[in-house]
Amino acid sequence: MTTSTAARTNTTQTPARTTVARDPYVWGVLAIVVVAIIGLHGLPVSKLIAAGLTPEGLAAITRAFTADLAPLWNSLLLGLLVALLGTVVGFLMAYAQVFLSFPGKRVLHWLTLLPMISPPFAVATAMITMFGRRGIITYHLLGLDFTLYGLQGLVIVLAMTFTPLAYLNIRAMLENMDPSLFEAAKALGASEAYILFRVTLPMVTPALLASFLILFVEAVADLANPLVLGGDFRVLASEIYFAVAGNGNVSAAAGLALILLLPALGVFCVQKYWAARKSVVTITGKPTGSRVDVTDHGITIPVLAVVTLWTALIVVLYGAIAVGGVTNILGVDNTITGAHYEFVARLGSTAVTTTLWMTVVAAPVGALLAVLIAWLVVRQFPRFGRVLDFLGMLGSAIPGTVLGLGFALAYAKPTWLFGIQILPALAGGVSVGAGAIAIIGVYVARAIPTGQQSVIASLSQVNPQIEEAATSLGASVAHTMRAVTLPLINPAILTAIMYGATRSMTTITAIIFITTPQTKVMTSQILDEVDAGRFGNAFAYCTVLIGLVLIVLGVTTAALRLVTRRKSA
Amino acid sequence: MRTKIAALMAACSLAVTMSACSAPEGANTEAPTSQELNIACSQQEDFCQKITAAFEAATGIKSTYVRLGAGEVLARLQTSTGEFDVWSGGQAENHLKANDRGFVVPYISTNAGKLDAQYNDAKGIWSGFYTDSVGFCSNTKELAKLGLDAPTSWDDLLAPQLKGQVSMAHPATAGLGYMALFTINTLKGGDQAATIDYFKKLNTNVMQYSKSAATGTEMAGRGEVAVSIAFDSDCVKANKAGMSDLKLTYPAEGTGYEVGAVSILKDARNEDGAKKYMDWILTKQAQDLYSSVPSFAAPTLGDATLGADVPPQNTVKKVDWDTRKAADQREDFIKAFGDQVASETKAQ
Repeated sequence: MTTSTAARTNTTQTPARTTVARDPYVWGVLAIVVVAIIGLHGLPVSKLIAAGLTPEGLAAITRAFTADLAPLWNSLLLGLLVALLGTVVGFLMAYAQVFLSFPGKRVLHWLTLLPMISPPFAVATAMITMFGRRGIITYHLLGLDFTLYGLQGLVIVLAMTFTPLAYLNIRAMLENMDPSLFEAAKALGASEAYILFRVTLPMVTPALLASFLILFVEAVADLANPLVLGGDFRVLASEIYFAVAGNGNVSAAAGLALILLLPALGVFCVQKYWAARKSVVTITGKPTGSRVDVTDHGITIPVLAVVTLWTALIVVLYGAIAVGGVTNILGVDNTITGAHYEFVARLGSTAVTTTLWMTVVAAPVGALLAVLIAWLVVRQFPRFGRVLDFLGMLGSAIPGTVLGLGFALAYAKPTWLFGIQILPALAGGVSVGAGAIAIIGVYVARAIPTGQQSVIASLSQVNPQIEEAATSLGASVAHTMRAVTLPLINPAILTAIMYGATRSMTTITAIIFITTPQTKVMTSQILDEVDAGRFGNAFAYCTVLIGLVLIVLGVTTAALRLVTRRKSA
Repeated sequence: MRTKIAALMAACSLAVTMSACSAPEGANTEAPTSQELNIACSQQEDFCQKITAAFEAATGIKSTYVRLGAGEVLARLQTSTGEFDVWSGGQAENHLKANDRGFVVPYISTNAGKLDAQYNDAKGIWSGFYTDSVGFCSNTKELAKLGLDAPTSWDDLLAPQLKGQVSMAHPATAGLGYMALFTINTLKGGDQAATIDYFKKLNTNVMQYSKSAATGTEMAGRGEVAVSIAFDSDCVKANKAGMSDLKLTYPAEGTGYEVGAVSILKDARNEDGAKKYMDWILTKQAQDLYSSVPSFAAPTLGDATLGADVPPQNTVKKVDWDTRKAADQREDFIKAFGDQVASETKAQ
């Protein structure tokens, strides 16, 4: 422990010294992490690459770049527009939250986050009902004939779905800005508008860029919304789906998936290494001084106008979901009915329990792996750690479609290592655990990145000397980690669990290829209902799922409060 | 040193990953058995659920199902067998296709003898347990706005007023989509080029190729499209469920019909249960249930109860449906459709 910390503070040290004293426990943890990363990312992705590079896969790739360019071009266009809209709105929501003063801020915060904790088509279906060609608002109220199917609808729906990510990212950065900078600018005579454009925006650029890139990848990978709302607008993700689900042509699908993978990885690298380096915000822990609210009407009025409009849209859409669950066919036959909930109770109860138990397994496992990776990165292998950090983050860089297809390819058959079967089949209905293990694997892979980020941030702020003290008093590395390190970063761990749970319960794109008869997942049940056009059932399902996510979040938050209170007491 | 370790580990993991890729020759892949019955169900969710529950109640065999389109089932079989024991629903030609690929275990049910020849395969590859036809499901209000009457011919669908107002199921995932293709093909005397040509023209009017058969009906019901190429049974069902503007018509030149089939799948873990399912679904007791589900598809047994609103199949003008040919040409047509029709859409 001592030596590694020394190495951390003095990187010019001879490397020989650092390896000598390393506790076997550290190697054990490293082994667990490496095996997990190979299992969760390495094997699926390499299988996918292998399948994509077969003649059939290559033919699909060639076709996508020559004869049939539309899906590729459409995907890029969609990604750019969603990223642009989502980042702008995310920034405005965050700006209002941090710099403006108005009533109902807390409520606004939760409303902004609502799309994040709800299943992917909640927004799409509500949108069709309210704003579609025969939407309640667009047609019945305003008499417009507005077609939602296609690019226009997809951009709005995907931007709504992913704006919370941008909002969280940008808000965190705005909050971390040192208020003294604004004070200084003001003292030097800058107007609030000038400060916004010349101080705030330049400083928040890394977060804007990061959000833009994240949203781009998410939008390009999204599979469910184009299936429901695509119209004649074909994108790569839905082409992948039709290749697999319609033609059973896994190689062609893998080829198309590779096209998605490359830009996603590129974007991820840019974001992680270039944007992060551009950061002008120093993590000092607590910003000094206090912020003064922005009051210039030239800023507040337009910002609040957008915020109000966006919030109204969220309220209308989620209102439609709530009402739609208890109406026969919202907009066509508005009779109150309990039939949709009865349908969910009859058909969905197994899906609800299955989804819940898989989440309950996946979220803590994801958080544990996140902690182990963070611990290795921050405390044990500061240099090699960057590789580990990168590998762990891959879970967010690999598009969901790609990851899911990779899992199907890698685990539908037993895994063999040098002629010995080391794993039985894990994906598909005939596998051990009837496919649940593969789904949990996907959940874990998707849960690690955010958890890892939050634990690394938290661990970097804990002074290593506290742990060194424990070690020099004779505690083993394992004991120190358990009794000293972990309690200190408890909130970050709970955040990791919370995020992992939310993500697991609402994911569809990544699991669509590995759901099985015996393992019914709520999100895929919802897709079935949406796809078949039975919106009422889908609305009821969505409401139930949102309720469940809120309960899970509530329980974790309560735990978080308990832990922090105990610590401060 | 550390970078060396990192490099070494990276190399190791790569080697492990790659070498783990394939199973050695002659690996033991003995099929496991199961007491439960797994059904691939290519009908509407509520029908699947009620029929599965009724089978469970009648036989005591614990059963689960997954709702998948006919194309989706074929694709799933391609990637792994053994996941499902029995395939219930979906057009007979798709079951034939599955048999061609070696995924079906022929079984002549003791109850198959009561079926009309057109509803049963003599070799036991499939037996039909419901039937319905392709029709046009129109929203009368929307049509009135466009100044059109409900279509009564395939050519009516090409009317310029219907631009972006038609919905059709994707032939790759939904059996209905392929039925529309093959119906036109039959009407065009088997001329593939002429068939594709028709769908290229229709493409201008199609708003969306949906993943499932029922989607179009619901879209028409909500007024998002004026006409949907749909199963007559789905159209009546949606109408009775509250979408009262829906009107069902048939093409005068003739239309395709579906024989909803059941077959036993290869590598079934519960082959015995699968056979019992096939026997059961061909009984009057089982087919009597359609009227209460309610399914608006007609039973294949002459003596089974016909629901009050089930579209009468004997008055529909049908094309001469060649199941064998439909199965043989499926891949060709779907590829042609994907390459020449669906991809006609321009980048926006």
